[in-house]
Amino acid sequence: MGAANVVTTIRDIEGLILDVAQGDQRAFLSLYDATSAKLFGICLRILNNKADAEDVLQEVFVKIWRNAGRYRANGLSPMTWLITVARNAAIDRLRTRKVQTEDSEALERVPDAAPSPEASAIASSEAKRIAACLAELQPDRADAVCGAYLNGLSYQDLASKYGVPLNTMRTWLRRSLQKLKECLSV
Amino acid sequence: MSSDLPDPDGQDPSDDALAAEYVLHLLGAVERTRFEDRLDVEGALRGRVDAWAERLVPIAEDVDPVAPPAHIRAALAHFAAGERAAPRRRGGVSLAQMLRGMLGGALVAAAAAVLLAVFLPMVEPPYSGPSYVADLAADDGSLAVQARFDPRGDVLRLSGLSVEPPAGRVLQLWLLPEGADAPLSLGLLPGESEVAVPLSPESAAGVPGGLLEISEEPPGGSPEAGPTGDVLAIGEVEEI
Repeated sequence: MGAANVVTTIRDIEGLILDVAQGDQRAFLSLYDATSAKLFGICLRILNNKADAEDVLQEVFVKIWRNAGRYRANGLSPMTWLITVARNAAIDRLRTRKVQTEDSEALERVPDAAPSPEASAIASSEAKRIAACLAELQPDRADAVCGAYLNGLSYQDLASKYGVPLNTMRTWLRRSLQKLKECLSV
Repeated sequence: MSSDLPDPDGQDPSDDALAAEYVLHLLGAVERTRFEDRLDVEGALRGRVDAWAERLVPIAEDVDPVAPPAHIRAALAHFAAGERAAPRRRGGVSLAQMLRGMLGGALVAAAAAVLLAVFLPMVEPPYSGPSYVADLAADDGSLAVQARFDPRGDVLRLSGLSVEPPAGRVLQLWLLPEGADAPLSLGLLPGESEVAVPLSPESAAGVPGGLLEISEEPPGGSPEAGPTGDVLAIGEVEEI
């Protein structure tokens, strides 16, 4: 909501999650105010449908309320945990929706996942590093990794998109991920 | 984020690829469930998944934030308030239910009183309709303020206000009526512990079953239609 007072630091967000674990409604709403726009953006990107994204966002915060107590048990940083909850819920919805509709239709609406130059200009050092490492991969393979992460594309979607057999796609992507990991650990 | 290429713990080297595929949501339904069963018991595998989640999360920075519509926040505020009240509801007969039962008796008594009033026009029947109360909790769970509302009047009475705004900020009181999309501002709170807040007919109608919130805002109040600062206290209105 208002930009001036929104909590933004990682420590603040972590503190809010721990308060939510205690059933603190006020912390829950503050956490929502601080993170809902980011998580809604992610749901929208994956689902490409406003009504579905709204529905999933609500589901995501219900999960956050219920599972905040288990947050400490995993080793994730607070934003990674929140984004993971949102991505998983949105992709689960996408997969159920795809069972109901035709795959090909959904694929055509998928926007290009390549990072825009504006976004990389203001990106954090971590984002710059992963962008640099993705740039070392062949462009379509980097695009495939981002397509899986940001658009929830399955191996089947990726194989159809790039016109290769599913197993070839899997080999490509596994190799690309291994290269990405090596590049990031340097 | 160290590389574990040689796979020192002697596990299947494809575990790392599976962990990455799990994070990306690339595994098929059967494979995913099988992997999750392993995650429950294999700590090292959990570590690989967490490492991949951290490794890939900067990709999400490319996604621009989009403000969700206000009704989602409103629905979640109600949800959280209901969840807090839930344990009391599960514990057999709640205080509210007992009071409601007593109120039923009171209604019978009131009916009798009305009958009596027909014969004894000088005796006024006692008020037996509902009243409302909300305990607004502060961040540490302590009582920040109690609000009382008698539906015969148009005033919400706050007592024992113990929260203070940060320097240069003011306290603003909000009402989120049940099922409403956005909160209504009930006004700015003066720095006194006892406050009588006059309500418009629209606000008064929204008090039963509503949610009260106090936020801290810039002088003059929130520049937007809803709270912009931190929520300092919150509580659900209950019938007594």
